[in-house]
Formats: sequence, structure tokens, C-alpha cells
Amino acid sequence: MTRYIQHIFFILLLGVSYTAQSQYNIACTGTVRDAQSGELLIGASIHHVGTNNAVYSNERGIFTIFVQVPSRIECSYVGYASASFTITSNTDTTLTILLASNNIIETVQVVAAQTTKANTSSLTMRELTAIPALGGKPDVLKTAQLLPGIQAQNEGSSLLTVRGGDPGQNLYLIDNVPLIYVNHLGGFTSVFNPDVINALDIYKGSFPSKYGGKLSSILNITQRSGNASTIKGNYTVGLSDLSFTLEGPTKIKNTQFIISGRKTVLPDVFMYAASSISRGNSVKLSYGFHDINAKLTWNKNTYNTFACNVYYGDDYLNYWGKQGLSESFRYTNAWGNKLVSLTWNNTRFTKLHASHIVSYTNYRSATKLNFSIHDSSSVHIRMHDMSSKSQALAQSLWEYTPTSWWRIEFGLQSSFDTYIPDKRYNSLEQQSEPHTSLYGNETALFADNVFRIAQRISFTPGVRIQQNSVESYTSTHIEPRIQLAYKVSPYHTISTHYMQVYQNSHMLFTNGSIMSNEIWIPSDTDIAPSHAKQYSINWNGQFLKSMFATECNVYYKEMANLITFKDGYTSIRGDDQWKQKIATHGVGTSYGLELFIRKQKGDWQGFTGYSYSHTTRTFAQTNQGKTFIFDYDRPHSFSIAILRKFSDTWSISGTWVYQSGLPYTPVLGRQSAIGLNFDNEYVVYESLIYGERNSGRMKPYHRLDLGITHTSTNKHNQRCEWNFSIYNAYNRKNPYYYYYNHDNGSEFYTPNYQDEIGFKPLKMYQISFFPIIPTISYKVYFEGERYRAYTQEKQKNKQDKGPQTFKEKFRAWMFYEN
Amino acid sequence: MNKYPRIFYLIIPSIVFGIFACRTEVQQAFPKYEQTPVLNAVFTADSSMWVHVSFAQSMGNEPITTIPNAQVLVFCQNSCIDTLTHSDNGLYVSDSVARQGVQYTIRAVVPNYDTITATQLIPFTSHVIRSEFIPIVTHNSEGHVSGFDVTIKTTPKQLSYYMIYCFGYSYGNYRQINTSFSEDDPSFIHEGIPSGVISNALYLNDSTLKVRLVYQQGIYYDAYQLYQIQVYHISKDFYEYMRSSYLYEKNRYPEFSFNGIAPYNLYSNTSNNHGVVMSSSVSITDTVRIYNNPSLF
Repeated sequence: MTRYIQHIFFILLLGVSYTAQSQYNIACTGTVRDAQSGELLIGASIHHVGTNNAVYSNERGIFTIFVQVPSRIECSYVGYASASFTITSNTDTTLTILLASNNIIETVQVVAAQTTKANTSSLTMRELTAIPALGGKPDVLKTAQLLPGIQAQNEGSSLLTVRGGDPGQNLYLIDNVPLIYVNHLGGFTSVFNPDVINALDIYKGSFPSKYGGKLSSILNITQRSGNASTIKGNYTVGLSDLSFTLEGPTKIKNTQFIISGRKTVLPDVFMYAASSISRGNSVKLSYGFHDINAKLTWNKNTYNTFACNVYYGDDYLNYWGKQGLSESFRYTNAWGNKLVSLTWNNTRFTKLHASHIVSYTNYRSATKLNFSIHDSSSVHIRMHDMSSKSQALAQSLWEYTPTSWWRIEFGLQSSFDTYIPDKRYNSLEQQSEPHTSLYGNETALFADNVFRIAQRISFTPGVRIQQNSVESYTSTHIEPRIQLAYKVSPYHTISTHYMQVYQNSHMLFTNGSIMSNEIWIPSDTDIAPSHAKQYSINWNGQFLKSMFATECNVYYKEMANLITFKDGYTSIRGDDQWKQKIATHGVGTSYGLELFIRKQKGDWQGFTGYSYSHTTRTFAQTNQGKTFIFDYDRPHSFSIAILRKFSDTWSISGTWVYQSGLPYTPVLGRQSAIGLNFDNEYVVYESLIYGERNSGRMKPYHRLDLGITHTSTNKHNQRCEWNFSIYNAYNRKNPYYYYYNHDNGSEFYTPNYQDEIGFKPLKMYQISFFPIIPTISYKVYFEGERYRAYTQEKQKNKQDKGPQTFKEKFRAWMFYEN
Repeated sequence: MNKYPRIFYLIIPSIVFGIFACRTEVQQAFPKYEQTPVLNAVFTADSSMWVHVSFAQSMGNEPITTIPNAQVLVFCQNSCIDTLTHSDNGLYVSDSVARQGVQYTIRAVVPNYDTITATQLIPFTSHVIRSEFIPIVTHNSEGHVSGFDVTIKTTPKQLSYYMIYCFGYSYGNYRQINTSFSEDDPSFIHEGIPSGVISNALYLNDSTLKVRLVYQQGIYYDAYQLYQIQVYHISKDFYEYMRSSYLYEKNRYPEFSFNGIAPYNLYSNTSNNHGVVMSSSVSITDTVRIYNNPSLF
């Protein structure tokens, strides 16, 4: 550790000694915003005209550039008209740059960061909102799965596996605040509502040192602040859910809000109807989810901004009914997150910016059973079962740019975590059963230095020092992060990266379960913190006047102290001895190649990506200690997404995905085995002999999705969008898993020697979900100012033209209005 | 009169079509599995011995081939005490009975294959020293749960394994009741899986082991006044096999939306890793008469 710290100080001293060579004399800092809505523009380019000096606004929309006075500055952002101005002040300056949209259509077509960062994937808002996912509505995580290096856990799932990592190794952030559970409908859709997203970055490697605690990826979503000038919003009616968004200024000066919510309706209705229609069935069933996102932003002055974020979302599966004349029961299974955060951004000093965040996040998965007998005995029983994780987090993030060639980001994060792997309550027991609540603290100090050590070379050493304690267990880790980048030309950069990261909380999940399938457990003396090292080489380039942006990554990743279920186990719920079911100290390796091309200008836009990867795992307690292919390893993955806007009325989108099949454990043969029948007699039956874990591979996965959007104006002069989409357009039966039975019925069969119905040979079958699914949704945009202007104009027209309808004419005649 | 709008009938099938899975046969040839002899046997104390010999083989359209011409020998203290005779379908039986506390070695000689061996120590009987009927353990949506607290005599510092069954007297016979270990029972929780077997690992220094068996009662369930409890003291191999058998069955047919699939091979203790030889001894309680069973009233 001492050696690391010595190296860091050496680098810092090197930076100080270089200061004298600075040729710029003032620092210009500020934010870039949309002129109409006031929304921050993230990734906008601020360029000193006539030089190669350019910077980009960060995830808080802030930039700092050093210039000589006087100098001409140009600010540009895709989808917006460039703005330029001259700086003449001799002192450090703070600015707010407002860019006007090129698009006259009311909706601000915000385009996310177009700067290609190494090991980082980003999606434009157009891509996010135009590519339909399962259910016909856009989905952030589903669209992200089209990017190279990022794969779905399984069909229909929003859980991500990034560069061979486990689904629990991804850090999901909303405005820098972690969200623990990110799925609705068991992963068929994610909790992120595209309507409130400003920008999305996914770090697959070389994490900035302010991010940590997860091994595989950081998905950082910056939420919109809402429109600062007028009240506007939209609502959507889809087959899966209803949603709404409302945004605008409040009555408090310089304050704006955005609020968005979703609620399933039809799945609730249909499941309830299906269970009710069948006569004689006394059990009702309903499934659904709801979520709400809200953000209130107060721009107190040029230098200080305060924001409050709230998220609340739940999935639920309920069934209830009556048994006989006197008994009734209600079973509820609910799982989801809640999050609240307060943020203070300060840019009072030109070269020193700060952001302070306090937040609370809670994830819980719970089941409740209420049972009553309504007779003379009048019995009422309540049983609860819950697993949860909560985190109270305080962060102080600083960015200091003393010179044009050195920038440092540093700060402190400290969280107080509570884990309850399993808590049960039974009203008959008079009191809650004893359960384990584990309390932990995780504190991290971090610093990232960005040195421009030559005109074309930048060097970014960083370090994150993290201490984790749970009960009596404490561990301290140092995570070095290093990048070296060489700018071959203004449009091409080659970089190398090294990163170490530790993860102190582990997620166990049940593959294939749509309910309560995630349980978080902390590291302790038995379960060591997971650890990963990643090496990568990256090339980013742009061609044909930035019409095409390309990216190529090669990476190698080593993971240690991984955990998983031991062979045969799929859940630890309701089990106090859950550690018996967990295999620990696992080792993983992953390497791969990723290629990505995005066409970002012109009528036809879109992207294509390809990745080759190979990922393995080794656990002493599983597969007889032999190394096996990772459960979600797909060596080849190819995707293409195309967006085309034909006119203001019609636009289309299409995606095609091809992936190698998932690995599975095949049956090699069969043998006789002994079993006990219900009469406690021994029987000999035919059993399967499985091969090594994941030594087979299922059929390849491929799918075509199509979407058409028709935009029009309704009679209230509101913009409306009809979206028609087809999931799995050519009805490919992609395998979800393989199993063995004598036919494709749902009755399972085990041949045995006493079988009176005779021997039936076993065959291999596949389960496929999601055939061709056409969907439709209808979205209406409304705006306070426009609607008021429209109604006023309509009134005026009426007055000008006189009575039109029979009713109006009759009224005019009756009351002598003529 | 049709009370639902037409759209209802259009959307319901599409939802159902989307939700319910499609099962199709995978046209893929099974791998060839080299034919290997399989030896299976369960020795129960004071019962005659039997052994089943067959072939492990590739998946196919015919039943598994049994081996009628094997030579199956039973050894005790390095001397052959019996040669089992083929009865039917690969089953070899003996007139001699297995004795408690004796270690037996089975040797199966199959022409053209390596000899298979397996060794098994027959456990001593563990007697039930107390059984207490619990009329109502808890209520649930189907009625109520009744149970027995069963106390077994154990040998301190000796890890032992058990299966416990309960039989109710009905129409002139004792019929097995579908009991399970109580989910709150510490020994059951210690097992981690409900495989039907239990150990005294938590009470290794004690001379008794107390466990609770529970079973469902209600209007759809039979109630009994006379009971018997059977305790099987099983060998470690029996215990391991039963655990593997539970995991094998549970993961063979995954229930979508509840659990995934994690294929699991059955435990084996034979020299060629095909089959299992295991043993047990049984203790049966005297008939227990219950006077206060609420399910009878």
C-alpha cells in the first residue's frame, strides 16, 4: 500500500512541476443548456476556434476550458445549432451557454454524449426511444443489450452480463445514486423510464475511480431536470402499461420539476379475468408493477443547483380466494426499490466544482400470507417472509482543474448498509422469529488525475481506497486505475487501460424465476470480497466528417472470490443455513474483442456491433472443481439497429440480433437408479447421466424486431404518436432451456421397471418463450402554452365566423346573439 | 347475450399465446455413451439382500439393458459368504439376511468388463424412545397441520443419519402418511434441502435426537387414531444418495418462474462410479393411540 501511495504522490508532484509550461491565461467554466427547456446538455463540445483545444460538458453539464484572451469559443451539440462567442475578459469567467434546437418540433431531441470514450458505450435518446423492446415500448436495458460486450442474461431478461461478469456485478446509478433492483416483470422490462432520461453511459471497463463496488459495469443514467419554461408532458397507452410524464417550472423562482409514472393495467386485468372466468375456481390471481420517478431542481443562482430525486417502484403477484364457506386467504409477493436523494452542485469557483449527494436506497423482496377462518373459532394468521438490502449513502465529489493539462477528480463516499437475507414472522409465534440483520459500512476515498503530458498524449492515473466492514469483519482494498491515451489524429485515439475493483456485496439470483429472485449478501469471514482485474486496449475513430463513429476494444479480465449456488441449488430463501448452499472463492476469466460502428448523421442512422468473447468459471465445490464455461457465455454476438425518419409523419426502426446459443449441461447417457415409492418400497428406474457443466451449447439465438411510428396532430393540436411494433418478426423459436421427456406435454415421465404403461423413450425438448408478438401503443404530447394558444385561437375563430353548428345557430337565434 | 366486447376475445388469445411457452423437440443426436455395468443395492438389516445389475448406456428407444449373467458375490471380512442368484430383470437375490454392524462388500463380475465393488456397513437400529402427538402445529389455507415430536436414541460423538416415516391405521392396514420434517426444526434447517433425510450433526454430543414431523390435516385429508412411526437409521452413502436424488429430481424439470435448472448427477459409491450400494436398519414403534385428534371430530 505504501508503494502505491508513493507512486501517486510522485505523479502529483510531476504535475505540479509541469505547471510553468502553461500557455493559457484564463479559465472559462459553465454549463451548456437547451435554450427552450433549460435542460443540461451532456457531452456538448466546447472548442477554442483555431486550436485543437476542446473539452466536453460532463454528466452534470459542466465544462472548464483554458483559453488565451481574446479568443473565439464555439459550442456545438448534435441536433442543435452551434453557438460561438468571443471571450475578452481578463479574469476567470463563468458562463451559461444556451443552444437552440435545429428541430422546430416541440420535443427537444436531446442527443446524448457523442464523444466516444474508451470502454464506454452510450446511446442516443433517439436510439433509446425509437427502438422498441418486448411489449412495444422502448427500454433502456434492452437497447443497451444490443451493444457489443453487453448481453442479456436470457431472452426477455433485462439483467445484463457485461464482459463475462455476473448480473449482480453491475452498478446502476440514477444521478450518481445507486439503485439495487432494476427489473420489472422479472426482467422483461427495466425500471428506467426513457421519458426522464437525459443521458446514458455504460462503463464496461476503466471505471473512473469515483465509481466502485461492482466488478463488471457502471450504468450511469442522468435524469432530466424538466422543462424550465413551460408545463408540458405526455401520456402513453400501451398493451403492457399506462405511463405519463409531466414537467415544467413551479411557482418557486428558478425551480422546475419532472415526474413520470408507469402502471401495468392489462396484465392485471387479464390475469384477474382469466382466473375469474373459469367457473368453480375460487382463486383470483393478479400480477403487475408500478413505478414513479420524480425530480425537483432548484437553480438557486449561476453557481448553485439543488436537486431532489425520488424513485419508487414495485412488482407484485397476488392471489387470493376462499376455501369452503368460512376460510379465506390472500397471498402477496412484492419486490422493488425505493430511492430518495438530495444533490447540491456548486460551481462557485471557476476551477473547483463540487457535488454533494446524500441518498437512501432500499430493496426488498417480501411475501405475505393472511389466512382467516370466519367461524366460531375466528382464526387469523399472518405470515411474512422478507429479504432486503438498504443503503444510506453520502458522497462528496470534487473536480479541480488548475491548469489546461491537469484535472483532478477526487472525493469521498461513505455508505451504511443493512442486509437482511431472510426474515420471517408468524403471528402464531407471538413474536418475530430471530433473523440475521447484518450491518455494514463502506467508505471510499478516490482521486483521478488527467494529465495531458504532451499535445497528443494523456495519462490518467487514479486510485480508489475502499474500506468495508460488516459486523466484526473488516477489509481494506486499494484499487489502481490507469489509462494512457494517444491521439493519432483529431478523430482517432488509441488507449490502454488497467483497472482493479473489489465488490463487497454479492447477489445470488435464481435463473428463470420471475419472482423475488435476487438476494444480496455481504462479504464476511466466509465470503470474501470479489475482485477483478481488467486490461484493455481501445481504438476510437470517426470517419467521413464524423458521419461514422467506430470503436474497437480488446480486453482480458480476471475475477476472483466469486460466489454462486452449489450444484443443484437455486435458492436460499427461507433457509437459515443458506451458506451451505453457496460455493465461494470462485475464479473467472474472460477475454474478448468488440467492434462497433455508429452512423450518427443523415437520414439513415443506427449502429452495428460484434463481439467475440470467452468466459469461464472455476469453483472448488461445483463441477468437481473443474473449470466450466460461464452460464451466460455467448462467444459470438452480432446486432444491427437501423432508424429512418421518412418525414415528420413516418419513421421506422429495425433491429436484428444474432448470438451463439447459451451453454447447457447435456445428458450423456442413462443408467438404473434406486428410488423409494410412496409405499416405501424400493423401485429401480431410469436416470440420466449428465456431462460436465455447460459442456453443450443450445441452438443460436436470433431475432428481428420492427417498429413503425406514425406522428400526427389530434383535434386539440397535440402531437400524437402511434407505435406499431413486432417482436420476433419471423417467429424464431429461440431455446430458453433444454429438458428431457417422452413427449412435449407438460406431464413429466420417469421410466421405471414396474411401469405398467410400457417404456417410453426420452427425447430432448426445448422451451421457447416469446413468439412473434405484435404490439401497439399510443402516445400523446401536450404542452400548456401551446394548448392555451390553440384554445384561444379557436375561440377567436369561432367569434370571427359566427355560429357554425345547428346547436350554436339555434342558441344564437334563441338568445338574439346575432 | 355476449357480455364481453369483441376486443376481449381478440386480445386474450394473444396474451395467452405470449405467456405460455412453446415446447418443441430438439432434433439433435444424443452422444454415444460407452456401455458400463451399473451396480445398485440396498441392504436392510434383518432382511434378505438384493442387488440390481444393469448397463449404463446411450439414450435410445429401448429400455435399459439388464445383466442376467453377472456373478454377484457378497464378502464379509474378506471371505465370500454368499453368491446371489439372478431372479428377474437384472435383480439378484439372496436367502441370507444382512446383519446390523456388519460390513459387507459386494463384488459384481460382468463378462468383458472390470469387476465392480462397493462396501457397506449396516447401521445399528436406533430406537424411538418417545413420540408425542401435536394436535395442531399451525393453521394454513387447507386446514391445519398436525405433527409428532419423535425422540431417537443416538450414540454420542457418532454422526448418524435418519429417515422417519409415519403410518396410520386404516381399513385393516397401516398406510404411510405424507409427513415431512417441520420447517422450524433445527436439524431440518441444518440440512438446507428437504430431501427427507436428517442427521444428528447439530446434537453430536447428545445421546438423543428430537425432531418434529408434520403432516397436513383438513377436510380433504384422512385422519387416524392409530399410528406407527418407523425410524430408518441409514448409512452415510444412503444419506448422500437421497440428497443427490432430491437435487436430481428437482432440477430435472424446472418450473419456470419459480426456479431455474441446474442438472445434478446422482451420488455413486461403486468402484466404477455407476450405481450405489447403501444400507439401513429399521425401528418401528408400538402402535400409538391418539385420543385428542381434532381431525377426527
